[in-house]
Amino acid sequence: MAQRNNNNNNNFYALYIHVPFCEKKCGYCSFYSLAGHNNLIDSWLETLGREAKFYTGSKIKTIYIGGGTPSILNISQWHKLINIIRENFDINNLLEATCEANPNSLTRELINFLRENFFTRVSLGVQSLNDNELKILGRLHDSRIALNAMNLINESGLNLSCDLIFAIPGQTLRTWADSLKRVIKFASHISTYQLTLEPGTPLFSKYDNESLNYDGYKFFRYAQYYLPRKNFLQYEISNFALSGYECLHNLSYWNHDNVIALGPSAVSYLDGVRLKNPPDIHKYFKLDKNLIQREKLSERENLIELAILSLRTKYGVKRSDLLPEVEKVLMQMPRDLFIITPERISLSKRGMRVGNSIWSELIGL
Amino acid sequence: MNNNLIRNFCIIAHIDHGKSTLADRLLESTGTISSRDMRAQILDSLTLERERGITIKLVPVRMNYKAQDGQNYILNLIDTPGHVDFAYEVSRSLAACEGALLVVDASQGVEAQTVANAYQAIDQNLEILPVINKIDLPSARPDNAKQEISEVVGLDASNAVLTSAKTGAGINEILERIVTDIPAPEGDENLPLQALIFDSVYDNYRGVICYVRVINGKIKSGQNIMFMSNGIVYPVNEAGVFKPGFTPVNELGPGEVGYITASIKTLAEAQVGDTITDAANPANKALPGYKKVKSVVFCGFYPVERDNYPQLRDALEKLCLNDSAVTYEPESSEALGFGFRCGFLGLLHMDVVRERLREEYGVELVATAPNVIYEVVKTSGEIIEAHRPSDFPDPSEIEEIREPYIKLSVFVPSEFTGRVMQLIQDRRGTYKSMDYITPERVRIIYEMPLSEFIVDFHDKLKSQTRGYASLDYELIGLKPSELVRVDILVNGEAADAFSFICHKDAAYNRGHAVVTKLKELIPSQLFEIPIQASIGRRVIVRVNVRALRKDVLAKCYGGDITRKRKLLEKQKEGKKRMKQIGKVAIPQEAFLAFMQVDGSEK
Repeated sequence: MAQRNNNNNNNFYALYIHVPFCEKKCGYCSFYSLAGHNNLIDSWLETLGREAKFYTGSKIKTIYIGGGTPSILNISQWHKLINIIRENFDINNLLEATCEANPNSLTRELINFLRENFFTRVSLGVQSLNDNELKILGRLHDSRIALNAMNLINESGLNLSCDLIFAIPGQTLRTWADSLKRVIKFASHISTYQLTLEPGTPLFSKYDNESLNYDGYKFFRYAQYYLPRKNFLQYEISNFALSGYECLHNLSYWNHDNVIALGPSAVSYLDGVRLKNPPDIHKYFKLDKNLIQREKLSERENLIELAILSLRTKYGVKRSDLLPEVEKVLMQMPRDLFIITPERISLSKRGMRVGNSIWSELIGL
Repeated sequence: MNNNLIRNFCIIAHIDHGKSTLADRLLESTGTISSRDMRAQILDSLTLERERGITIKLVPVRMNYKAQDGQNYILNLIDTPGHVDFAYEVSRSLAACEGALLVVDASQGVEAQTVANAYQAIDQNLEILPVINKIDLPSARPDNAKQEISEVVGLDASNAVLTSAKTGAGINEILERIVTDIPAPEGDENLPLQALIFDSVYDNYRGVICYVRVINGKIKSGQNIMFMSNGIVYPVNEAGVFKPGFTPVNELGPGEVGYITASIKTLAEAQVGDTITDAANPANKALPGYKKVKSVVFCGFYPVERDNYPQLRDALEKLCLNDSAVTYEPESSEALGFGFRCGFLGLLHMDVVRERLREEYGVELVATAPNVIYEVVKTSGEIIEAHRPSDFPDPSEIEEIREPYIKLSVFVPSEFTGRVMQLIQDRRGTYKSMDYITPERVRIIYEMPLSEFIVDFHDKLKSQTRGYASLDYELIGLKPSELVRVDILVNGEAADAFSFICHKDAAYNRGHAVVTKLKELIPSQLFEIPIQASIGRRVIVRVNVRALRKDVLAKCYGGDITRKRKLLEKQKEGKKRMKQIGKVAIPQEAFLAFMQVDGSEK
C-alpha cells in the first residue's frame, strides 16, 4: 500500500476501526462481520497494526470502534488494539472516543478498561426494550440485560448512546413509546433506525413488505415529537442528543472531514478520495492496494454530495457552499421542507422525513 | 385437366360448430394426410389458431377423391375463418369456390354467424350443402337443426348430410355429395388468362406467394404474368398446388386452385382481389375484385422498450405482408414514445395481430385502448375525422359529433332475453326487433355505437348468457351522438394521454374511474397533487394525491455514503423514465393502467 499524504490542510482526522466479529449475525444486518470466527481476531489485530503504520503520526480528534461487535474482544485483545492506536497516532488532542457494544457481551471489566483508557462514550445496541421485538430481531439479549448494561455504563460515568430500531414486525406505537421513554433515563444520545430488510439477510426472506410497517412514518414522527420535549434534539436525521452530546465522530462524515478507517470493509475519506477496504477478511489480510476500491468524485459531484450530507444535519448547508443550480432547485420545492436563513438552508422536521425525495432531485444536477 | 373433375368448395360455420375437425376428417378420408401424420386440425397452421381453436388465415388444400362413379376427382377445400371479424376473409374464400358446406351443430342449431355466412354464400351464387355436425352428442337434435336451417336461413335442409366429424360418420356421404351437388367450375383454357388472387403470404426466401383460382386460360412457370390493377409484369418462378404442402406442378388450368411465386417483393404489388393475366395476351377485363376492406377498430402499438421501435416497425411490415387487412401509420405519444396507430377489422383481429407480433416476431408491445373514428362537424361547417381525443376541437366549435353505429343481431335462448337487452341498452343500444326462431330461442336486433361494442361487449354477452348467445354485426354508418371529451388535469396541467371521449351521461363515472386509478398509481411527492377530470373548463371530479409522508430509511455513516448516493442516482434514473407533466412525474404504469381502466370499468 502506498504511503498516503498526511500533510493535508485539515490537520485532524477522525479514526474508525472496524471489528468484523460477532457472536451471531443479526437477521437484519448487512454489515460485514463474521460469526464464530474468533480465531481470526489475532490475525486481524496483527494486520490492523500494519495498516495503521501507513498513517503514523496522524493527529486524531475522534475515535470510533465499530462493527461487528467490538465488545466481543477479550481484555488482552483490547490491550493490543489500544496499543496499536497509541503507537501509531497522536491522540493528544482527542475530543471523543466511542466504542460500540452489545448488551450481552458488555462486561464490567470492559467498561472499566474503556474508562481507564481514552474512551468517552459507549454506543449500545439496545434496539428495543420489548422482549418480543428483540426476539424477532434475533438479538441475543432481552430487556433486562439491556437495562443492566445501561446501568453499568451510567455508573461508570461514560456517556451512553443507544441504538433503537423501529418498524419491527408487530411493533406498535405504544411499545415504541415505551422503549424511548425508558431509554432516555439512561442515555444522552439516541440513534433511531428504521428496520430495513436488505436482500440476503434472513429476516428479508422471512417477512414480506406487507407484514412490515414499511414506511415507518408513525414511529419516526413520534420520535420527532417526543424526544425534543425531553431535550433530545434531532441534530441529524437518525440522531437525537442532549445539547453538547452530539457525536462528533459521525458529524465528520456529514462535513466531509478526513477519516482514517481501518479494518475490512472500512471506508476512509482522505482529501476528497474515498477508499474502501475489501469486505473480506482474508483479502484484507493481504493489505493489497489493488484490492482497495477508490472513488474520487468531480468537484461538482463532491459539492452536491456535501450538500446532501450537510442537509442531513440540523446545521444544514452553508449557502456559500451551494452550487447556484442546487440552490435554485431547493428553492423551487415547497417551503415547509426547509428552514432558510440568510447564511444557511437546513431541513425542517417535515423535510427530514422526506429527505430522499429532496436529495434525489439534487443528484446529477 | 378436365374441369368436370374439379370441385372447389369451402366450409362455412358458426365458430365452434366443428368446421376444422370436419376438414381434418375429409383430409384423412381422402388419404391426403395419413392419420399418423395428422396433427389435430392441420389446417389451423398458425400456432395462435390452434391455441384459440379458431381459424384466421385461409388455408387451401387439394384432395384426390375416387367417387362412386369411378372417376378421380380433385377437391379443393378453401378453409375460411369463422369469427365475425373476418367476414371479409370469408368473402374472399367464397369468390374462389362454386360451393359451400354449411355446417350446423346438431345441438346448438343455427347461430348468428351461420345466417351471416350463409347469406354471403347465397349472395356469391354458391351451391350450399347443409351439413348437420356432432350428431353423436346426446344433446343432438338434428331435426330441429334442419328445421332451423329452413326457417331461419331459408334453405331447404331436408336432404342435409348428418355427420359426426368426431366419429367419422357421414364423411363419405359428404365427399360424394360434394361431387354430385356442387357444380364443376366453368372456364375455358383457350381464353386469355384470368386468375383471381384470393390470398397471399410472404415467404422470406420466395417473396410473395399468391394463392390463385384460375378462371380462364393457363398459368405455368416461366410465363410472364401481369397484375391487372397496376400493370406490373413478373415471370412466374413456380406454379403449384396445396397437397397440403406447396407442391409444384407444370401448369394450372381453368377451375384449378393453386399458388404461384414470382420473386414478388411486396404485397402491395400483388394485392388480394387483383386479377393475374398473361402479359403477352392480356384479358380485356379484370375479374370482379373485392371491396376494399376498411378498418373499424383502431389502437396504438408501442414498443415496451423505446429502443425497439425499429424492431416493431419491421415486424409490422412483415406481418402486413400476410394480413392485408391491417393498416398502420406512425404516431408518437408523450407517454409511450414512438409507435404506430393501427387499424383492424375488429377486436379479435386486433388481439390476433398483437399475439402474432409477440409470438412470431418476438416484439413486446403496449397496446392502447381500442377506439373508433368520429366525425366532427364544426360550427364553421367544416367536417373533420377525429381519431384521438386531441383531434377534437374546443366544445364551442363543435356543431355535431357523429360516431359509427352497427346493426347487431344476437341469437340467444329466450330465458336470457331480458339480460341481453339490458346489457345492450346500458351501452346505448336502440331496440329494432325481436323474433322467435324456435319457442326457446330468440333473435334480437339492435343498433348500437361501435365504440360501445368494441369495449369487451362480446365477453360481457358471453358471461351474461353462460356462453349461449351468438352474435353478428354489420356497420350501418355514422349517427349523431352526444359525446364529450373528458380531460384529465394533474396538478392543474392537462395530461393529454389520459383524455378520452365518451357519452355525456357516462362522463362522470368514467372520469371518476380514471382519476381514482391515477390516484393509486401516481406516487406521493413532496407536495399535494390534485387530479381532476373536466369537460371543457368544467371540473367534474377531483381527488388529491396526498403529499409524501416519509421516505427516509437508513442511517448514513462513512461506509454508507457511496451506496446511498448510488441509490439516489438510481431513483433519479427511474424518475427520468417517468413522464413529467408540469411538476409531477407520472410512472409508465399509470399510462398502462389507464388503458385498462378505459376498457374494464364502466
